[in-house]
Amino acid sequence: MRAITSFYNKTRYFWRRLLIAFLTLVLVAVFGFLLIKLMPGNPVDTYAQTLMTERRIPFEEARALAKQMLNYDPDEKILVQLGKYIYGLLHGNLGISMRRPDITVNRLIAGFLPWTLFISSVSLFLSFIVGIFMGSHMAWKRKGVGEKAALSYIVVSGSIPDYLWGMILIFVFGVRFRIFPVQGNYDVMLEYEGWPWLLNVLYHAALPVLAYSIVQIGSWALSMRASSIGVLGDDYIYAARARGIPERIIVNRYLRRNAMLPLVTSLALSFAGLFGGSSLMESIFNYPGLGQQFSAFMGARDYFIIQGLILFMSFMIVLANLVVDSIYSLIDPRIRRST
Amino acid sequence: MDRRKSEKREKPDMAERKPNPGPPGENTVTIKDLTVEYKMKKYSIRAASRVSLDIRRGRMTALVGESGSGKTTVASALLNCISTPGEIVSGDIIFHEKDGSVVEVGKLNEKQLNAFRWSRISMVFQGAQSSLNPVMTILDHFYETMKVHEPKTTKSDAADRTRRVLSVVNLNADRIMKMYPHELSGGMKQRVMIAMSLLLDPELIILDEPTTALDVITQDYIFKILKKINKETGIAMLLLTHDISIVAKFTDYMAVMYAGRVVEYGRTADVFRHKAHPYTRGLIMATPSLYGDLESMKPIGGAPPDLMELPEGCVFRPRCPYADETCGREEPILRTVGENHLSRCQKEVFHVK
Repeated sequence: MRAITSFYNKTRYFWRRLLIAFLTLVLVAVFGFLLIKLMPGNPVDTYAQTLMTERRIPFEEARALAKQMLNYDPDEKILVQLGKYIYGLLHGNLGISMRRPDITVNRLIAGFLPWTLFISSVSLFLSFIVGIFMGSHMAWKRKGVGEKAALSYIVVSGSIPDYLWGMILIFVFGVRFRIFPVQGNYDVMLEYEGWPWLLNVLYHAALPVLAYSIVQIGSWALSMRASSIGVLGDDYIYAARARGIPERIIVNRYLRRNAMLPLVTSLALSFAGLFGGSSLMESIFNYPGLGQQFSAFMGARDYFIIQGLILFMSFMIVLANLVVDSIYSLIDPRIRRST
Repeated sequence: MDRRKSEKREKPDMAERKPNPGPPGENTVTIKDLTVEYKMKKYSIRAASRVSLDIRRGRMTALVGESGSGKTTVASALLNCISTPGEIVSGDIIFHEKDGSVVEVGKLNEKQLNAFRWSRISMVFQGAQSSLNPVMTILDHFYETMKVHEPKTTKSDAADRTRRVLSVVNLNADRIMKMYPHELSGGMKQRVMIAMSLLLDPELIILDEPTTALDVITQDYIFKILKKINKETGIAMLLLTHDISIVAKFTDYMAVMYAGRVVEYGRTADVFRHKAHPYTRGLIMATPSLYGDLESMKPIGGAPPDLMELPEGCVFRPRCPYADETCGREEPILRTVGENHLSRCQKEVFHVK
């Protein structure tokens, strides 16, 4: 009986969360659309100017031509435009490029997201794990040489932005010592399959991943340190010591597991933030990711692509929020059994 | 197979151990001149000052005193487990094994210390409510503790043993073992901690205010269980409390602590009868009596001293109704005032003989 009620509560909770997530996405779609309309100027007028000077035709004619070529009419009623946009969304079309009808948001995501996701998630998990160990160790061995060294590392690494680290790494490892490749995702000469290709991909990812991680490790370590210091004051740590449990087990099973609980939420949220990619970083390493594409289309004022990408990124964040709860309940039994 | 199982449960582990209080006067632990300081950057606080204490084998000894009098500091020194920045400055803690050999707790290295902890002296903590790791099941706690002390322990050994010690504290092991700490009530957690303290069959259990967070009914129930364990297994107990009525009801010996010092030590009955130190007298008078007038209850005036600015001479002097100028000259020593009875008051009036 109890199981049935709790199952009922659980499903009801889940559906409520799902409904809220859906409403959030609808709002994001509408506001994303409106915000772009609020931006001063529009691509049709800009393009019309170009056409007018290039082809030496009157503005009216150029504008009509531009409308046709860009497949976009700024004079149309805003509700009609919104309606068209939503209609497209409902048919699984996130948007088509204004200038090049062969480029769609869907294709952009399929082609570039995997690369963005690859380097940024590898560096996120790498820095999370290193940060967790570093932070808990700093808290356990307070005032030791290790803590001082770690703190200075955090201050130095945190005060330099990640794209500058990228440049430093390129200079040191790519130009000076020529150990790692400085751009791209793999050698174009290679076959698109097999172990050699995979190794080559990892080889190319080394520098960008390192550049991301150098900065992120510090902030994970700091939050983990704060959280661990809190846990160290808890009675169960003292009780474990009194039971004769060796230090190694206390750090692993008591300190680290409890102290990382609050960090898992931020991990999942950071993961959601990865889907946009970092425009600067990807440009520096000339890495074919979504961030690089986003900034390129932003420069070209390709409205349809921009609003499609924004919607997609929000969708991932909303989805991640839903996932946070379930991951969290896996490590914290208090949540697992009570909701 | 079922029958064997139920037989095991009817005979809890305590029955296997014969009570062995040893010859009277024999100690489980002898504390000699223990001084503990908490060292800060600019100053240090002496939380225990030359504490000497005998903990008798198989007996229940009380350590009485108000908050901040150094009870917990002394207790954690027994396991050499004082929380930083505290450290033992001087003094010895001598543990007497049953075969007559002695262990000096302060001289153990980390590995020996971990082996010593819990298998010889275990502890029920002040915050028993939060002494369990929230991400581990109850059984995991017991299994882990056994595994650390006896690496060959299997999970089913641990479950058997856990079942037995949980039945001593009247808990339904099969229901509880798979649960997480947050799923138990406060009284249940307290009993789980008591069961855990029995796990490795120690010589001494330290009970650090084991019932402060519980209501009086549960309190009484838990003390009855503790007394029963003490009687039937002969495990010595050191009870830290500020509840005089519990001391009177359950303990054999008692030590009264004030400002990090033992001011009186003796058999509970003797201490209550003679009250050989004015502080003890004050403590007992401050407890409402069930039969006497409420007016006879007298609180002790003043407040406990700041450990950083202790008065000259006797530390209790500023609050002592019997104090005169001779008390301010030098700090009195702990002297014998009767058989097995010590007091730190220099006034002859308080001495039994």
